Amino acid sequence: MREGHKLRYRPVAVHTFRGMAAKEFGTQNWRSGLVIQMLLGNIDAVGGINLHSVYKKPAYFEPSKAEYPPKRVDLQTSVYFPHATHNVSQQVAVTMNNPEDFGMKYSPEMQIFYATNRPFSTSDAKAQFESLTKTYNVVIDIVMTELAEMADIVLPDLTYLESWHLSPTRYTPSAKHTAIRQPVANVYNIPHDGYSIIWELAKRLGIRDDYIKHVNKNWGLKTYPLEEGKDYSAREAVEHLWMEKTKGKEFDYALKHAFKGKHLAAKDTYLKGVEAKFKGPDKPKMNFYAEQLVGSLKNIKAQVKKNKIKKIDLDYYAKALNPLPNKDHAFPVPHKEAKDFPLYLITYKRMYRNQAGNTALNPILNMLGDDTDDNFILINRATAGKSGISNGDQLVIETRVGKVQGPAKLTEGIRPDTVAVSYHYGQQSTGFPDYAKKGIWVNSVLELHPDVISGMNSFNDTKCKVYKA
Amino acid sequence: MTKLVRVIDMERCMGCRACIAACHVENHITPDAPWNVMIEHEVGQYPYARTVFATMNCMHCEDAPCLRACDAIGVHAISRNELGVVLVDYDKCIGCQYCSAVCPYGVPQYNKSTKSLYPEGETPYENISAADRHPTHRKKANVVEKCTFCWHKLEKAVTDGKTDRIGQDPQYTPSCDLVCPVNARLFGDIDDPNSGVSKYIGEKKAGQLKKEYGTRPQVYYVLQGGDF
Repeated sequence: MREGHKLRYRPVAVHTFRGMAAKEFGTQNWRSGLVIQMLLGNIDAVGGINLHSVYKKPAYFEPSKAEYPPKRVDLQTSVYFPHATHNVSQQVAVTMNNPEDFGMKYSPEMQIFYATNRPFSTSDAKAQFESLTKTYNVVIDIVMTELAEMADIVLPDLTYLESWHLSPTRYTPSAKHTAIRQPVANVYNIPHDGYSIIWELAKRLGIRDDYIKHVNKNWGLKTYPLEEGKDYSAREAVEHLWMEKTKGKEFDYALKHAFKGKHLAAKDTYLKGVEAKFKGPDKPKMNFYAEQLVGSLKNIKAQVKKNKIKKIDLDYYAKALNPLPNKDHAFPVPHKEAKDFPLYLITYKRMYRNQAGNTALNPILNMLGDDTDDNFILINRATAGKSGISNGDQLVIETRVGKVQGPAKLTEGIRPDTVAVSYHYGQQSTGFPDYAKKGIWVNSVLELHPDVISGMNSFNDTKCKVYKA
Repeated sequence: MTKLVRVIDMERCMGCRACIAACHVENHITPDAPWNVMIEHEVGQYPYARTVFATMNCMHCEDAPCLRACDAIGVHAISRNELGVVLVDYDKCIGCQYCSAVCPYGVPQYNKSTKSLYPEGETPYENISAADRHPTHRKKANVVEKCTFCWHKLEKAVTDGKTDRIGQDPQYTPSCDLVCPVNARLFGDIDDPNSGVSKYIGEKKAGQLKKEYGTRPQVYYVLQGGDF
């Protein structure tokens, strides 16, 4: 029962997502959460993976169309990565290096990067750098990252304290809100931010009105759309978003309070979701997660046959799209291939940094303790003992991709067959001062092999050797 | 009477160090002398291992060894005020570090220099004149510093006649106690039996560290495993 309503399902709340769970000590919780989610379901319904109104994005519940040829260079939702939903940044390097392998109808000539540092933040930096040599590159960022060093043009962006935003802070299951960020400074007098750069580009290319149509669609601007034929500043765009999201609450209120939120009653969450959409006769049936996978495999097979696609191993996909939790490891399977590399190398996020380069420059974060401006190789005490490794010894991690070096930190908190390194240290761009470059750039030795369902690279199954430097 | 105490729940603390960041920003910290530090250690053996996190700041002892040592050598740079806050007067401190030597909790930090947080040089944030700083923030080289329970905020509560709001209103509460994302820190009046700290100490059996020294600290810890 909830607020007097009898519920058919048990609303299992697995309230997590990878970015949060990848932090220190979170990895196993996340894996446990995924297993529970597969077996029992999520907040709204069995198999669901959506907060608030269920079925808002039908693609989450229906089989993938497994499109071919791919529309996007990251192959999102294509036959290759049928359920990728949030931009497969790692894959772009692979596609760029060999676009014809994936049936791309064009060879990209230019890449524009906004607030990302792909060589640093994802696996196999060498492959990432190689892909950048193929194109003309434009980077929009607030710091001179490794990616910016590879750019033909670097356009400085404004930080979140210097620009207008509809705040992307997340809802909780029992509350929702709309919030904005307003600029409080512009210390370098930078005239543009990411928004205005893209707007200006659309204008100069003569596609501004088309761009406005897409903006209205993607931002969900129905009652307060941007009008074609007009230019909008970031402030004006945020005003339209605020008005749309708050159903017309005046913008002066946003300027003063920046926030409008409310707690949700049961009828606005669980009951407005699956119960309203699917309960009772003559209502559509909602897929389970497992059914979705079975349907996707069927569509992939049909596409492969129809288009005579050679470079897809259907056995891989059959295993990866298995509808039930499977003891057998889905592909990729480096643990079966890298036989001379006895240990797993995994990464995690320490709480004092993220992969954005600006946190490496933050003296407060670097001073949160003696160990926060540097990282280390976590190794099980017993494993270290067998190799005569002590705390602080300089170690080499060698993978099939390359080698890195750093100090050992012995721990009881990791499996004996695994070593771990946090992934946001060791930046090497000449744009950073020396104090921001400390530590190990572990992503540079991780293998690049995106998972065939989601397209997201696995950061937890590269094999390695570890020995004293 | 008002007796201010802090409670730190180590069963809840997850080691994020947000309290340390808040202290650094609020108290114009310089690299040689942090006022709030995190101590971590592992207990158990794989696979039954866990990490214990303890944030350490001044205990503001009722019978403070640092104050006794400072008085004993006739320097009188350390005092304990009407709200039980132990403070260092930088103008009187001679940098002898006896206080550091006698503190059972390793609290007083000798500030060798007031260098900038940034190797490139002082930022506008740091380049604030002494006249524009609270006395506890007028950093000097070769003296001892430590946590003040954010005295500049408590003092404001006294001035405003709002000591009853200490621990409740952000402007009258130490910054480290405001930012904890898992509510592992509380601050307030232990002499008020209905205060949050009083109830928490009673319910969770919070206790002081190193009681055997008889220092009567005003910081209480909920230790993993309950009473000790």
